Amino acid sequence: MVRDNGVKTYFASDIAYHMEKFERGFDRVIDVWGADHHGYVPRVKAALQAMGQDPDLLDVLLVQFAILYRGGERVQMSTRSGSFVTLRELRREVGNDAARFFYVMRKCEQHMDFDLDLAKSQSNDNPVYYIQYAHARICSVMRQMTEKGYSYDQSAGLAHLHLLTEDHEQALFNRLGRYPEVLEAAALAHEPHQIAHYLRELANDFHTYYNAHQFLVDAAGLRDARLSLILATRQVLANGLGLLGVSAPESM
Amino acid sequence: MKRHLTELIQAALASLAQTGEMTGAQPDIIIERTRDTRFGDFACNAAMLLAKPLGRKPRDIAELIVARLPASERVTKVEIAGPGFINFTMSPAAVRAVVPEVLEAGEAFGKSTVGNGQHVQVEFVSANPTGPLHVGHGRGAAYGATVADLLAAAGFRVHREYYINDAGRQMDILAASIWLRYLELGGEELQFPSNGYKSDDYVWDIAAALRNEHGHAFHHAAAVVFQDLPPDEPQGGDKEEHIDAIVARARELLGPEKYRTVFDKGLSVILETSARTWRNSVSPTRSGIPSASWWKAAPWTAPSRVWKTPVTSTRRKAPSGSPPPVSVTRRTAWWCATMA
Repeated sequence: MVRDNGVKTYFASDIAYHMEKFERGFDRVIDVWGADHHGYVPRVKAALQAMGQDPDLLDVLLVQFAILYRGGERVQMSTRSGSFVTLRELRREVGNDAARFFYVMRKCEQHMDFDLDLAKSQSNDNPVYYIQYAHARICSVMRQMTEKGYSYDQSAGLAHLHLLTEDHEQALFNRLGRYPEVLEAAALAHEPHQIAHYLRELANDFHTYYNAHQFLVDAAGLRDARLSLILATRQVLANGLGLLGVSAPESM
Repeated sequence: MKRHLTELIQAALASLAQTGEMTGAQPDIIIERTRDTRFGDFACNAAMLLAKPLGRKPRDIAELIVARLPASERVTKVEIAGPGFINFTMSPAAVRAVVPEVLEAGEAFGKSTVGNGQHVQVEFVSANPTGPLHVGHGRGAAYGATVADLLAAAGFRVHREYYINDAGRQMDILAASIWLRYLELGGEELQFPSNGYKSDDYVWDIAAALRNEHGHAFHHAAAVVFQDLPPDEPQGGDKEEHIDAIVARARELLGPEKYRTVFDKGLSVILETSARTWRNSVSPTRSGIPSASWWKAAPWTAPSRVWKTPVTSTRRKAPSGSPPPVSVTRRTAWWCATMA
């Protein structure tokens, strides 16, 4: 821990730092480290134990580095040789939303290939686009409603939810009901990708419903009920995207 | 819904305990979604858990529990499946009830109090600040920021910490690189070390700022700077030895005070860049700079729209009083890995 010349090693200061975290009164401590630190985790935990601290109160998430691809080719990244991609450049190229989403859509210990072309594409294969498009589509339905001279009555909609008996509607009800469970599981397991997966499934349920059924029907009760269902869907999409740091656009 | 089903099971167990048919056991009830909704929406493991302590078949226990389940409007069917799972099918009205629930709760829908207000500290992006944040760091940063937000949504009190190392060799190399660019801006011609920070953008910028503020005060002739240094790699030497010798020469020629000025200049520019990138996700802590005042000093303009997590200074968010300045650590591996 201390070299012959009296200089303390990084390990020594890291132990002190971690002890200091617990002294500051935290019940749990989570470190997000690069995957190359895996050998370091037992050392820090052993040191904590030696100092009388419960090592299980420290969780270390080891994150594999992302590898960037452009046009199917690996993008070289380096710092000292001069040419490198900064986060700012990445965000300028693919946008904040894709950057945030792509980084968390796989388990942290899994390698990830960050496909810059996919992140920029307006296709169903691009998960960020697919989810945001579901949100924007619902906003668009509401605009069309106004254009057609209809208005939305929420209490009438909620009173007619029993009219929603289509399979697509059942699927959406079930999916929406799962959101609190998914959020809790994702938080306790420290797994943002669970939210990302859930949002893709929710977006898929919505898009297939959209393609199969008319929402702006003449029958007011059914129309309001369907609008209530898709507005609830819009809310959950926005909540989930917000947790991932991704925007929920009203139009695209 | 899971909570409701747990309550139903607990009521049945309490009723069985009262009549003496089943006593003592308080199983850790787990209600899970079924894989296939043909077998109901939720499955409960209580009977399996009780089988061993009670010395009875799980199916028998399941039957006893099911017989005592209180009636619920939210459940249409209860079945015993497999070795003794109790499967519940939600009533259509209970399935639909999520819609008014979402519309009423709005942004709060999905949040819970499962974390019970526990204080959690999340430390991430422990990068060496020897350059703007790099895409290699992005994943850990995005991951840490999101985990912190998820925990907050689950009722934990979350303190985000962004930990920056301002010591160590890499920072010295950065300082030396800045100084060499500064000398070049002053008209010196020199062979830039192969292991220095060659990046045009930011090292030149920092050097120019140094010259703006301090004029010629840090200037030395290139011939003096490079006198008797071990050769660089292209000249058949060792690039590490060469750059270390340049760092030593910089310290020697500048003296501790001026060297520190160059070093800090590099550090503060890097911190500002990093802060603009991450300011809405994290709160930097750095030895020697109280983070709250540092935030105020940072010259950014409008925050970007999407990095939504509210800015919280370490000082404000710490659970008890203001935290002491954090000691310096170094995680060069982060940095080295991004170089590979």
